[in-house]
Amino acid sequence: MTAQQATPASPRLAQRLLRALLPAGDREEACQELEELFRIRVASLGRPRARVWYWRQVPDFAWRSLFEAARFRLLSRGGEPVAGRAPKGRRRLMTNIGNDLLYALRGLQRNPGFVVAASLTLALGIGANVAIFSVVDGVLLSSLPYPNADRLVRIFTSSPPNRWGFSTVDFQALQEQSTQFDRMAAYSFRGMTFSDDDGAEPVIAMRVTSEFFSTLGVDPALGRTFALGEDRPEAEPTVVVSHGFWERFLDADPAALGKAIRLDSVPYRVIGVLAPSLGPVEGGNADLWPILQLRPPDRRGPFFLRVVARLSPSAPEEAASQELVAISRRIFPIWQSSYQNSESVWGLMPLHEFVLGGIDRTLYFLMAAVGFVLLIASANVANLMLARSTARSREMAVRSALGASSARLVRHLLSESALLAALGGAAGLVFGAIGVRLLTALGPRSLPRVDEIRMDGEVLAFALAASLLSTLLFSLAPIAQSLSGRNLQAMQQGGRGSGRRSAGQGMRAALVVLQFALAMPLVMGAGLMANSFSRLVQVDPGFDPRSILTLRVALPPDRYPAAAEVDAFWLGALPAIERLPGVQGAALNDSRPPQGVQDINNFDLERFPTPPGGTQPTAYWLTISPGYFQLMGMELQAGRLFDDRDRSRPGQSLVVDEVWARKHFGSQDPVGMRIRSGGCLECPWETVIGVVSAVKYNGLQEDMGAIYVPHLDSGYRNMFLIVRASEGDPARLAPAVRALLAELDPQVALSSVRTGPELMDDSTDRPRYLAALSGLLGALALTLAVIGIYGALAYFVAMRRTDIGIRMALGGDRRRLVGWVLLKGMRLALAGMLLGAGIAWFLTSFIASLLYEVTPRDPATFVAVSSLLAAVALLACLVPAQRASAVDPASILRQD
Amino acid sequence: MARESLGEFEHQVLLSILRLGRESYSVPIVLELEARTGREVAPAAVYIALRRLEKKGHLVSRLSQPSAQGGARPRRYFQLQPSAIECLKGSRQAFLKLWEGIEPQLD
Repeated sequence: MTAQQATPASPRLAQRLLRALLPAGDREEACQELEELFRIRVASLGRPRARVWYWRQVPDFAWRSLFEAARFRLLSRGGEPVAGRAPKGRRRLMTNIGNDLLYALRGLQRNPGFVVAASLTLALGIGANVAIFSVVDGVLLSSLPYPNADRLVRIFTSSPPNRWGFSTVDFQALQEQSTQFDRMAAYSFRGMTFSDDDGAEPVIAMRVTSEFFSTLGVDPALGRTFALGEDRPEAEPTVVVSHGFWERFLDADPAALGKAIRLDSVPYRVIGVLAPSLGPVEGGNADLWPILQLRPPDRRGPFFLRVVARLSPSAPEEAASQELVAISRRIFPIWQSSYQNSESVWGLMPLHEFVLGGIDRTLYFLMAAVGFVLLIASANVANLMLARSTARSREMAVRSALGASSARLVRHLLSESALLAALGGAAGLVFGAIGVRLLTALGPRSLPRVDEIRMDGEVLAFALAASLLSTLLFSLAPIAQSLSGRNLQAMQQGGRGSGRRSAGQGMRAALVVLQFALAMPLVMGAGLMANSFSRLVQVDPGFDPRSILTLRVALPPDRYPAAAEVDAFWLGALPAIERLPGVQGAALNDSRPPQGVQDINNFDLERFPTPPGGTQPTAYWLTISPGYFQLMGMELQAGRLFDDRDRSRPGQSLVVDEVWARKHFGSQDPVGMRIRSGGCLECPWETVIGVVSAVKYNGLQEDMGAIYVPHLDSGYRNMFLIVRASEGDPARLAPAVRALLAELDPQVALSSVRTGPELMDDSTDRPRYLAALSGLLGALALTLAVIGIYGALAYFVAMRRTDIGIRMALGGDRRRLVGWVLLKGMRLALAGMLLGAGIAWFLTSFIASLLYEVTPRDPATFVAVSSLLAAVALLACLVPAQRASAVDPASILRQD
Repeated sequence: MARESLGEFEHQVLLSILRLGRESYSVPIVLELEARTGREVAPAAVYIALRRLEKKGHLVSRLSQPSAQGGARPRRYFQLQPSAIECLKGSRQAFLKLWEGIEPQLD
């Protein structure tokens, strides 16, 4: 032995793993002994094989010491072994259960491959369920984080198919005339600019009326919330800030209470700070809540307010609804000159339902899908258990013959199942925790209440229930088999495979059929989602997003009080931006495609006036700078674009898009037609001067038609700046654009920097998420089903080796044999698929609302999914079939 | 179960210790078992069996002192107790009785 060989070191990672896995008491001695043996192994086997040997010892040591610790705990009381004493009563029961568990543990220990396969299968099923249930629990099942949240409602103007907000007129009438509500508040989101001596920062503000916090039942951590009357126009402006804002901008100084901060150049006195634990307050994450002071209105619109109210304890929702309709009808004639739609009335819905925003259907779909996955996983484990219990039927028969009662055998089987379920459940929780992190991290920004998703007691209880349920499900088949009295037959057969139909074979076949029947609707759902998503991403947004950079620019009101100052800023800024290296062009729009429309407005057509009291048509209302159309690559289809002529008559020229033109004028030329916006009877007519190609503004799935008005003279201070790069990644233009704007005016606030590709991704967020998730679940289901059919058929071939050998010896054709095995497997798969197609036919109609341009029973998807399942099943059957054809008849005959 | 019995593997371990005498710690026991049975033996199984036999009172153990040069680390040596000898004798007797007169049938 050379000196080098005398001190070889064991694999360091394996050593560390072993140390981590062993109990502290055993660690040193066990590692030292193994090290010594390793050196001896190196001498006898050589280093590479010795290293493999060492690695093999790690799980063995860990598993055995765990088993020993469990055994010792179960069998000892205070460290003393109880063997040899007769246990009594309850203790006897516990000891029996303990013995059963030990016996089961020992049985499982002998078959680690089976344990890993079964518990991993279960863990996948339970993990998927835990993850989705955590989301369902956080989003759907738990009530909103306000006291008596079930009494909170959102009130809106219902004008089917639209739901509009409230106007100042509406809110004030509601406050004065309603009797069914305890409290109510109006609120409106607005990007504002916070400025101090250090500069300007854009902040998200939710302007609220005085009863906002008291309606929700939210108390501040510091100071107070708004008092009644603080929302009157003559009162001093006040603001409640979030804990984050207080820390970031006010140095977490309690003395900031009572001081004034500047928002959009107006001083607001800070009166309260909310608690840090408080998640997003109704309406979303805001930095601060300035008071919303409503001025006396001179017309019915605009409808920019959201309204939340708390129902009186005695008021049923129905009575409140009727009262809302009555009040809205009562005020209608008073404001008819500025709003003529008598069909639109007020309505309400529970706040929780409103917050969900239709996500409930998606979540129920996912919950059902993971439920199916768990069933398939359970069927797989049942199949494994069946195969195992058939292989052990001799052992069972011997135990039964030696006097073990049926109950004892069932208890034993249940103990094994319980151990497997416990292992699977524990690993499932780990998978679930990873799943929850993935779901919330990769989840769509549109998923509501994301901050409330966590694995809590309810989720743990659910995991336990899922484990117990799966235990019951997958123990049923082996228990039924062990009670069926076939064991005696097994003992007679000597445990060998024979020509007779073996016990449990029918059950295994039924399980395979069940798996395919369950996998089919899941894969079908995934196919439909994928199909729908692929159609969605193929939708033309109407512009080339690749080289675009967008950002929100807010001009401070004190420096830009009117349209003249705003225009002057942009007339200087836009050409300066266009002169930056790498910039092809720049323009403004108050909305951002493809999913960021800010203003949807109603209007009246001169040619086709809305009948008195009827619902007026609506369109996206977009305020743009003149270069916008060219920058976006939009095509002029009729008339002309904005030019200097429109400067002399501000607010009188409009450009519409092709969707709007087609919708209202069909094949007629709309150029020269006149409209009046906002249902206003006294406003001047505005004339359509041109028609351009369409761009998507409200998601890729929707388009109601767009009306463009010039930004010049609008005085809008909050705009999206859109910059097109001449080449390369548009994101790299951002620093130069920021620097330029800061140089022009350091008080200008910039936010929400997104490139075109990012905006496109954002707009398909939810469908992509859904397609990916259902694809993942479908793949999981398919994999499990394929493992199921493969296992069942491989087992069938193994059991029929004798049969097959004799056939071959008698001159059987190998090809016919392969066909016979394939047919055997495919018959099950096809039966399952047929059953599954029926289930899918019934179930997919529930996901119709989640699909885009694909019907829930889309024949192409049905055919594709069926072919995929059949092809995969065929592949899975081919391996055992090949194995059957490779059976050597001579060796079989020798065995017999 | 009226009397605690030895498992097959425990039986084998005790016999190895009997054979090895004072040099009985787990590494030579593993090697001895492998040499005699001709199969690979899991060190973990020996490790656990030794601790279990000690808990049952069939073995006592002592930790050796490291050498003065500080080279080797302490090792745990095991020694048979009278109860172990009794157990071994008992099983041997039982087996001999069971085998009595049937050996020719195996040929």
